Amino acid sequence: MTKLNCVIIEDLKVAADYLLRCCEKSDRVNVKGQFPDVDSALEYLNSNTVDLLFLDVEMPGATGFELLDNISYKPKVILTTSKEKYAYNAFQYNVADFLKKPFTYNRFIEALDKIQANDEMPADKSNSANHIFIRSDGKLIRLNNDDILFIESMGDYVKFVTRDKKYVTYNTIKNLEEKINNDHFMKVHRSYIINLLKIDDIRENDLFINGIEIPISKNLRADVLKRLTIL
Amino acid sequence: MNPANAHKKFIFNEKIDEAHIYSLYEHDYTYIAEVFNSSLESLKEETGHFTSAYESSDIPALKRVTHKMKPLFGFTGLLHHEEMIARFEHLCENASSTSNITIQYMELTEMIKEGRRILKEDCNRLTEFI
Repeated sequence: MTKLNCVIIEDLKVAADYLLRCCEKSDRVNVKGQFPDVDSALEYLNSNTVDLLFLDVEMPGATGFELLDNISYKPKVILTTSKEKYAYNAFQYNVADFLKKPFTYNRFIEALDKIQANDEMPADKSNSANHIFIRSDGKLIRLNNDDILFIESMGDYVKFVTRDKKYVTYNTIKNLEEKINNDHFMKVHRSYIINLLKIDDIRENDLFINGIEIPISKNLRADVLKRLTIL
Repeated sequence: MNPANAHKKFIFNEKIDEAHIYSLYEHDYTYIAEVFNSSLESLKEETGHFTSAYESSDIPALKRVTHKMKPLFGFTGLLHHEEMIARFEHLCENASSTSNITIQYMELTEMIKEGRRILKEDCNRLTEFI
């Protein structure tokens, strides 16, 4: 089993030390750093890629969720907190698991199992390439990220739209969202992932790519605007 | 570990949930002593913040510090103390002024003192035991 590179972001020393002990005992993760606040963690994460974050929610300065809003890629996340009320936010942020402090070693291992069972491949390695391969018409077809305008859900299938062609393949938006390059692509609606570099304009709750109107979910609109350079 | 105690079980203060402690750390008494010691240091610091937050009527700060203190009692098996501090944290979420929570603050202050005393005593006994 591939070891995951992780960091621990936790302001309480006893909790951070306990988590480190669990990580070392498991021999399944490499702890690359420990940070007591969001600012110091972001400084590290903006210049280093890790597979997994053990993330506290309430810390001095900013919250763990604010860190997730500001990180430029999508590592796996296990939240560690003493409040269950964050479970709903955790769901929204696609957090892999939620450990209520103090947790037992067995519970810690269950959380790692969930992550490693879902995806043997570390998250960033699968989505950092500048191209993807899709299965269509019985072939594996290479699509450069730069050629993809957007991806549209069609039930159990998705449609990859480029300037010249459309490719239909068996997949889901949810699955693609986790695997596709996060620097260029973003889910803007439950049925659409778009290439951020291809947006022509945005009007109210819709955006336009190559003359095609694409809806933006109300709850994702603010996130979309955050990803754009607006002067 | 003190060879004389190699096969003995440490008897914790009755207010410390022994089963909880063993579920977290098994019988690693050296590590348990480290956890108690580290928690005591954090509690000393946070108790100061707790008092000053109350005295300056800063409810958000009071809520933050209780949130930080709560797991310290969880990690050290003082589960009743943890529950009491969780209730106080909840009170802070809904309180508009410290005058509404004075009685609970006084009670919790005493409880924190008691928790620190228990941990200090057990930490000293553990150090002799190992």
